[in-house]
Parts: sequence; structure tokens; C-alpha cells
Amino acid sequence: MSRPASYSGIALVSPVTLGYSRTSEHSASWFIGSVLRELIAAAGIRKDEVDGLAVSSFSLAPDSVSFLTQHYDMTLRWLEQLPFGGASGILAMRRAARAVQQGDADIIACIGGDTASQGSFRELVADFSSFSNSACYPYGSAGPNAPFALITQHYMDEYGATREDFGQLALSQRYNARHFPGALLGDKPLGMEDYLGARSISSPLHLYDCVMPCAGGEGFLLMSQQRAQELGLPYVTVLAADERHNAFPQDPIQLRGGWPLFSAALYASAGINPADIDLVQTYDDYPVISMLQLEGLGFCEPGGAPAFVRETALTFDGGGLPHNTSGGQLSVGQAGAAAGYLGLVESIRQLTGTAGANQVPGARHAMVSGYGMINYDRGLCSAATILRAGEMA
Amino acid sequence: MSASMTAVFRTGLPATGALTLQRCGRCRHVNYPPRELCGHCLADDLQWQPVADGGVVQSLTRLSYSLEPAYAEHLPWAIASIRLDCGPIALAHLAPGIACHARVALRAIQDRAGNRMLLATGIDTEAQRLLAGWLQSVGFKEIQA
Repeated sequence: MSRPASYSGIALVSPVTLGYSRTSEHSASWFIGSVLRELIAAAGIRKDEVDGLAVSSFSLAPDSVSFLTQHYDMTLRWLEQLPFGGASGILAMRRAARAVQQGDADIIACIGGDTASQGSFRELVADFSSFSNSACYPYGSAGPNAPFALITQHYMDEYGATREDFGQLALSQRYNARHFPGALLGDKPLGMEDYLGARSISSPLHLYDCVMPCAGGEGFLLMSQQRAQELGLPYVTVLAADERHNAFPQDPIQLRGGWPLFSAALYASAGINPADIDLVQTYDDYPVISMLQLEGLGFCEPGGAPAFVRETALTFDGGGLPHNTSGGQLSVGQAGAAAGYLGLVESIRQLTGTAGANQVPGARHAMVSGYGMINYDRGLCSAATILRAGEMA
Repeated sequence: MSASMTAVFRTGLPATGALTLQRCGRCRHVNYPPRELCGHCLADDLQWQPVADGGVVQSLTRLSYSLEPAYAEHLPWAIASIRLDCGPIALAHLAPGIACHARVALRAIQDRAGNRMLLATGIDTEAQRLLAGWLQSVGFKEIQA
């Protein structure tokens, strides 16, 4: 299998996280446009220097990305709208990188943004996909809770994982969130007794296994490394990235995403090993999915994640393997498609040394993983990228 | 559950109690969830046909929370993932007293709003004996066809 072509010469700059709130009066275009404004300000460029825009949003309809060019009064030469949920950020990055490498655009704003209101989560999950509409939602599942409860229960049955193991992820992420001002749940400490004693949602899932839907925006700018250096911007380079969709469809219950199909090639392409990774961001719509990513990306064997999370410090300052260093969705909130950008944007902050109180000292390499689109009984999109801190010219 | 609180879903299942799914006339592949083209060979030749109704519970969950009011009065509500002998994975309502890895039989039932949905039941006579009372208690009806 040929690996993807090199991402050399590409830089990611100006990480922006904006406006997380439980509900909002604003529209998705407000969140996306506000992120765009902050991206331009952070990079010190003019709006008309941005010539490409990649957008992901569940709540933008009836508008689409082409309409946004008029909202924001921009003339662009490159547009993408990516409906990939939790894989949106990495997939936008991959496509935008090719456009810049090929000369189709110079500076691309990659943005995920969603609004939320009372009842909007039900509207989203009650009409999410034709398969879910006909064969999942009618059975009473509150959105993806039931499919992930079934996956979590199967994972526990197969590998002997306990609720405390999943709790290790929830607790360490809450600790990280308490050092990240943007996290919606960052002011609420979470202990193991709280975690275990929380109300049941869909057995074996309890309250703190489930993300809180919210509004918010995330984004970054993608440009050439040379441009980033000319602008004097701290940047991150892409050592490797890949994606798979509907991997292992014969598995009766999803115990692996697409990562085992490409993770070895990802490390080979990057020229590093899992031991060289300074921090990892997984897509944590539910803790079990973070475990599938830790396994699929080579940090432990299949079924080894429960032991791994028991034995490894996952906090940003624990000296182990810092994981979901801003708190992940479980503690920051799940802002629709922006959640598919959360780990990537946080990694750009970390690797450019601009993270603040939750900074991982000396972080040089990050693994970021994405997972998304629960069509029926499993997530279909898997993506991952290895990033490296850029060096100033 | 009252009919007024029960949403209408497009489950796509035909009006028959015996498990009836889409089989491809070209490659014989059984498809579920419902679709328009065969997922295996892409032929435009899917036909609703009775299929083997046996399967094995792969995993199960009990919902303590639902966004749909119809289920709220019957919580916790059990649903399961079933690997059907005829091929597909089906999420289904789960009759009481069935454990993970148990063999089950699938049939279609309808709720008070007329939504036709899949139900996994035990295969022994005791399970079948208890079924009628449970169906009535949760407002499910056999589909007469």
C-alpha cells in the first residue's frame, strides 16, 4: 500500500478556540466568522490575504460555505465544506495542505463552528442519517448514546475493562480542563466517587462518559512554511496524516477504527515512534473511543488500553503521556463539528508553546486523532496526524 | 405510552410480523438497515423477503434516558445489537430476561403510533409464554399480516 505523499512545506498557525457556551443566540455563521476574525488578527494579516476557506458545521443549514463568502465579503479561490464530524479538522487539514502545496491557494482558514439551542441536539440526532433514522433512533437511543453503550459494554466483556478504567480518562481530562480557561466544565472538580456515582444514561455509560453538547468555534490557518516564517508566526509542521472510512465493516461491534490500517505507515512516514510522541489528542465522544485510538495508534496493544490508562499519567503535567490536554470534549464540551477541530487546535497551541497554564513543557511531537459520523452502529471516519513544532528561519 | 406522545418514525419495515428484510435478487445478500441498492453488489434488485429470524446478542444496553417521551415511562429500556444468522447486524428492542450472547429470534412489532420495529425475543417456551403480557405492558402489538 502506498502511503500518502509528503506534507512537507506546510505550516499550521494561529490556533483559535472561541465562544464555548451551553446554548447561544448566535448562528453558526457567527461562530465561524468570529473564528475567522480572530485568525486574521492573530496572524496579523489582512482579510483579503485569506484566499481559501474550509468549513465544518452541523448547524449552518440552510447556508453553506459558498454563502459565507458573501456573509464575510470575501473573494476566494478555494472552498471546501467537510461533513465529517469528529474527523473534520484533520480531513480539512489534509485537503487544504494539498491545495497549498499545488498552488491552488496561499492561505486557507480551516474552521469548525456550531451553535446550540434548547432542543437543537434532539433535532440533530433525530434526523442525522437515513440509517440512524430508520434503524437506531426509533429504538429510543438519545442520539449516539445507545450505539456507544453497546460498544462500551462489548469492550468491557472482551477485554475486562472496568468503569474505573474509563474514569481514569474522564478524571485526567477534567484535571487538564481546570487549567484551560475555555473549558465549560473546567470549574467543576471531578473525583472517582463522583464519576462512579453519576446517574446512568445507557448502561454501562453514566453521566461523565457522555459529552455535553454546546456551541463554540475552533480554527487555524494553513499556509506554506515559508509564509509562516516570513510573517514571523510560530507554526507547526505536518509529519504525516492519513484517514480511512468504514474500516473493518465485518466486525459485529466496533472494537477498532481505521487506525490499525495506517498507523505503522504514519510513524514510518514521520520517522518517529510512539515513544517520541510528547502529547496525544484523541476524539473522546465517549472514553471507550479514546481507548480504541490509543490502541490503534500503537500506544498499546488491542485491549491494552485499560492497563495503559491505569499505569500512565495522562495529565498535562504528569510526566507520562499527556492526553487531551485542554480537557477534551468530555470537559470542554462538544461544539458540534468544532469538536472535530478541538484536538488539532489544542495541539497547535501546545507545539507553538502558546497553551498557557496547561502547557506541556518542551512539547515537540503531537499525535492527533479524529473519529466521526455515527451512521448507524459505529463511527465511520478515522483519521490521524503527527505534528511537529516548527523551527523559525 | 400514549399515542400522542409517540413520534412517527420511518423505519421502512413492511407490515408483517415475520422477520422480513431486503434480499438482493442478484447476489442474494441480505441488507439491513433498509436501502435502495444492494450494499454488496449495488444491484437495483432488492426484494422484501422473509429471512431466517435467528441471531445472537452481541451486546446489550439499558437506556435510563431517552429523548423520546414514549420510552420515558418504561425506563430502563433494553435494546441489543444482534448478529443475524442471515448476515446483517440489527439493533432491536430486547424482551426481558435475555442475556448477552444468548440466541434470540427476531420479529417485527408495532407501537401505538404504528411504528414497525424489530424485537428480539428468547427462543424457549417460557420466554414465548411471558411475551404477550410484556408486549401489552409496553404498548407493543403483534403485526397481523
